[in-house]
Amino acid sequence: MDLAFKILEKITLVALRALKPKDTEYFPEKNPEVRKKTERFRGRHFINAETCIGCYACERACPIGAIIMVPTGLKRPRAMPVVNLGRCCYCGLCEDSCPTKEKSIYLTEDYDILVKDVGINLTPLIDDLWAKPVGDITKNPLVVKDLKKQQQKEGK
Amino acid sequence: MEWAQILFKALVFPGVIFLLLVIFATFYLERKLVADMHGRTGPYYVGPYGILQTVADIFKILQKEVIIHREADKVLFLVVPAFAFLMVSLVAAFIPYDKNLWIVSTPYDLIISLALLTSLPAIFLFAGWVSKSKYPFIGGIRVINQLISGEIPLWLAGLSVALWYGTFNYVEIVERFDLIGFLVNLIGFVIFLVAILIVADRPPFDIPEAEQEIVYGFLTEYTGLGYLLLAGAKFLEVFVLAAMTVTLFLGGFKGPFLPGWVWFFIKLFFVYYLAFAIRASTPRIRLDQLIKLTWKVLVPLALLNIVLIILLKGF
Amino acid sequence: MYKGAQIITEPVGKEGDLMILNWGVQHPASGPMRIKVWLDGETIVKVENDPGYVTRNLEKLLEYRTWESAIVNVERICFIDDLGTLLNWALAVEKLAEIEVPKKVQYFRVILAEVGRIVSHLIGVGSMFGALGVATPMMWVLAIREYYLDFLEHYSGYRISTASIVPGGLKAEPTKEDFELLKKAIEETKKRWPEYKEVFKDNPTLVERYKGVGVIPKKLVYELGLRGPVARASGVDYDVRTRYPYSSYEDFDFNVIVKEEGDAYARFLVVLEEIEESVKIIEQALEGMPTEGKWKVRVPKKIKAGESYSAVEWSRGSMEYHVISDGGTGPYRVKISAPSFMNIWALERIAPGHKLADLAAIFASLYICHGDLDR
Repeated sequence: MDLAFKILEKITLVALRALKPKDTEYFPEKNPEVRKKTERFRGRHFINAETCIGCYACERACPIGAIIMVPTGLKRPRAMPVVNLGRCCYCGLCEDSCPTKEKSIYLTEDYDILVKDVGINLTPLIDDLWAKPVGDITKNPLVVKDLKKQQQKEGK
Repeated sequence: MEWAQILFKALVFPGVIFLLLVIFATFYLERKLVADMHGRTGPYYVGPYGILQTVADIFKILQKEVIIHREADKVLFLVVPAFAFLMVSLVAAFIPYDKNLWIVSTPYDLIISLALLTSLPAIFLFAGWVSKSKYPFIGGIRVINQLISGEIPLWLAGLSVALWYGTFNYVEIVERFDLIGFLVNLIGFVIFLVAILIVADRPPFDIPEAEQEIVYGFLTEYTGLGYLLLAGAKFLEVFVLAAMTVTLFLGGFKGPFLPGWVWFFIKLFFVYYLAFAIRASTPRIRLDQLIKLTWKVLVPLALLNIVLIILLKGF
Repeated sequence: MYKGAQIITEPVGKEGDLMILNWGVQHPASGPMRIKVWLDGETIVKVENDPGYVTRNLEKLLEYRTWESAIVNVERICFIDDLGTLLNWALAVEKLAEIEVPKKVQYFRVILAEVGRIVSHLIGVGSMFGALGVATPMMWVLAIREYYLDFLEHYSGYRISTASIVPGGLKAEPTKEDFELLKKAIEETKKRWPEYKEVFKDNPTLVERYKGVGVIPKKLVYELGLRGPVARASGVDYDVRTRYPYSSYEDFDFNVIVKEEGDAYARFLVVLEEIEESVKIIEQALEGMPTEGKWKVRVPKKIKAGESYSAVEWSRGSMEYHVISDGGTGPYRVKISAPSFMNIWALERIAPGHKLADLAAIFASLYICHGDLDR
């Protein structure tokens, strides 16, 4: 008999949970900012062509082989990394191994890689699954130094 | 215009279209109310407050391909779900929603309803047998387990009400309902509530369709329209049994200010909420524990209840 | 004999009077593993395991990595609690290279390992109810778990597969907001836990279903070498954290939960009460955390030849690595001894005699992680 009362007690306790506030939140219409992006989130890569020195450290650090160094044609930097976004496992070891002061390859907070989802309209972000260097390579300090040296030699 | 009235009653209200609406409504209410107890939202996006979610789901099921097992009998496989739906709809014809809102009313309502309901486990066993596959077969055999344990308390508790009021007709039972009748039949009410959960395969007694053990019981091999009819028959079985509870023990359509059918649906909602709360909090019990429970606790209690009512009626 | 490795050309049917059932790979409650069940009516006569559907060959892949980049493979042994496996790898490599990490790194590693244990035990409790058809405990538990995952996401970037513990220290420094989030998680646990226990700990139907079911006697624990909560529920008092302390566990004060009966209900209680002990450990570590030292110590690129063995009390048992180095930039050979693989063979010995409905209950109470079963 006390078994029946115990079961009834559990049933009422569960039914009373319906009166307390819910744990889920409406997304994304009511409050689109509820999905907070944290700073350390490991999303799509950003390769900075203006600070990379072409040292091949990120290619050696990648455990999977998703980074390939593509030659630039200049003397310094000799090559710059491109990342195969399909193979990458987003571990962040390439970011740790970059020796420049402000990292030339780092993982941003962006988790939209292939398409940007805005309701029904899907806007494609990239054409193929590679993350390429971004920025103007002629502003790279190494390139500027080499160009100045060459101009001085020609000027002489 | 008797023809028009009978056609309207048979096809629209309380007829086929109303029964389909009942399936939509119970499916939606179950998801929404159980989600409240879980602390989440339930259906929200399709229609205002997610009302049209069930419509979307059912129209999706209708588009699916009907797959029949290689060794199964093709004709029987497709006929059995329709037959189950038919038998349940027959019982739904007896329910009184208001004083004059019923399809059929005979002097033997209660016995006919109970007899028609007892045929359903045999149809479900046949559904499991005809699928010619192992998991549905086990599910079908387990339905027989439910039959031998749950039907007898259902009959005993239901008939004790007829004993007290002196008639089998639903409308007269509701007319003669009063506070003394409610208090005297209280033990029968509790037994009947447990028995409708056993007969309709609702948790915690949903042993024939235990998803974690036998994939989906006797419904495993059905897809598309067959699944819809068979699952629809199960939903309607719950509706019919809950309506019987409201009519026999809670006073049907009787109530002070509002019209009769509003009170009927309010009381029906109360019985449904109880079933959902039991579903969200009680784990499933095993086969042999179910038989022990009914034969050691429910059946003696139901027999004692009949003796008590006979004694009280003597005064 | 283990016969599961053949290619089957005709469907499994029956054998004499018994029916053979594939409680198989496509099943709502079995996970990615097949169990062949011989049935006589509703009673189980014989059970055969057939694991191997989630094999990723992690031990072979580790031979191609360096000492630091091996965390990518090691953290994927189990997808729910990856902090214990990372900690074990860091300890094994530090033993090989003979370096010592500062005390505050050890305290934070203890915090991370206990957070991993809480996160895994919460899902374990929810799924032990889920095997009986009730979804409510799982939903309530997932709400508590979200706060811990918020902490892990803010600290390391991802909710699971965090890659946060490397040989030599930690990959990233913890900031003040990380500690705030951790304190909020513990506060929420303490607020919601009493209500959860009141509804679900002594639920009458659960007790009916789990008491006396799937009893593992103490002899069987020693014969098969079972580990973790499964062994502690049968009366064997073995916990690596107290027997062979690592990473300054000896500074903390906690109980090891041991029960005597050995049935499924005892295993459920052990997992449930270990959550409270872990919360105690995290609070003690937060209070007594030292403040001097660096967060990461330099590990040489080539480690001289040798072997090392290290064991950690993971959420499902004791996880052990045997690492061999031949002087190169990466391991020569790693052998992983996984606790779930040891525990699954108890199913073949204790299941016969029960009904089919108990198979789901026993399987859920053995607390198996499928990624850890096959590696």
